[in-house]
Amino acid sequence: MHAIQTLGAAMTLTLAAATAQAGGLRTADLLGQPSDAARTAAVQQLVKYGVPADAAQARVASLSADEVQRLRIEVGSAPAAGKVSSGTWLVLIGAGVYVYMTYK
Amino acid sequence: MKLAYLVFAALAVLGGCSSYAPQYWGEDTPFAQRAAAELPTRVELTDVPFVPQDDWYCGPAALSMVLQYGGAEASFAQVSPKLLLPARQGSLQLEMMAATRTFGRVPHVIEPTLQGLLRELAAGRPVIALENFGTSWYPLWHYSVVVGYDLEKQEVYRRSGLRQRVAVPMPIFEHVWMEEGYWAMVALAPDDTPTKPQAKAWREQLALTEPFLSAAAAGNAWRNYLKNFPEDAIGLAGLGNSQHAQGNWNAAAESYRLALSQEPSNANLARLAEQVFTKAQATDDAACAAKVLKHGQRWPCPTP
Repeated sequence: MHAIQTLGAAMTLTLAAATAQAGGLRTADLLGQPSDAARTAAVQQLVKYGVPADAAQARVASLSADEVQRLRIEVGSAPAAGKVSSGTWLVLIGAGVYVYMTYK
Repeated sequence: MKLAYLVFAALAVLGGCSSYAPQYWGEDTPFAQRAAAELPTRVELTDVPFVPQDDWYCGPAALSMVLQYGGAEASFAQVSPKLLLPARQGSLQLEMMAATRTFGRVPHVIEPTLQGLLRELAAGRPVIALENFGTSWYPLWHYSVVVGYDLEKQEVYRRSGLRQRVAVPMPIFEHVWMEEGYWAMVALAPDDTPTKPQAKAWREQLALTEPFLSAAAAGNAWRNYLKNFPEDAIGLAGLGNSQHAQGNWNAAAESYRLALSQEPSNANLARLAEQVFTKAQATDDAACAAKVLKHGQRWPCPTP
């Protein structure tokens, strides 16, 4: 519980800083803001997937309500692009050879 | 790499060309001929810097290249902590867009067509494309930066992985690009206009980028948006907010009057408008905005 409260407080500070930079009024407020609970859940999801807590807070703070919702739901299933390694190419080439040998 | 392309080409023959790259082969007129009707024959953005990627890091590398090309200070080390998901060994599309905003650039998902992608390149914008080098049931996702094309050679040029310039035949590129709905993005300067702008997507990205811009830059961004959508209430409010941030109280109040005239019952708009009118000492307008917010009154209020 203490960790969640700490996350919430840190996110509030991050948002306050962003608001101050824009001069106090945020146009994004007109689009609808994610709830604190939704933000906290999204931060927890990022932490679960290996993002350090402080980086996770900063990342969620810059998201829209819709993005927070999508992140919570899709973090484990949406395309996560990384690297196509040489090992991957070997698998692909092997698949190509298999297809060729099967259908020639 | 060339061997892999041969594998793809073999799969194309076996699977049927039109399903393999439907946009490239989908019409009677050859693609290059169709594209040449509106685009230069050859474009290559040679000044796009090259950031080689390490394991898992194609997202940060791709975004760093595009942001640096647009003049943002966005080193690989600065971008990576905003994107990497260690347990997924990669980066998500929505975080690619969110990270773009934190560097003061406006992400824009481009039209999902091969011709649309070439159009962005012709406009001088490198494109981050999400590619799948696997199959729909075993995807191998990868971001590359497309920096050019040649309609005569029918190739696109990419920065990818450890290679600064990879020439790929267009149908093969289309095939690896099509799996996630031809998803690709560009990073616009705040006062730049997207190709084929759409109000909702553009204003949402501008609003979310705004906290990372100076008030003056935000003002220029909203002015440019309003040139395209002059009656958009959120755009008018965005301009009002930038004027408010610069201490131009009367101008901000006027922008909010125009915004409320477009959306007379918008309570969220009225909440911000009340603050702006109060600062501008427009007491009647502030009172009216309070009524819109609290009592469902429509703007403007009847004169007493």
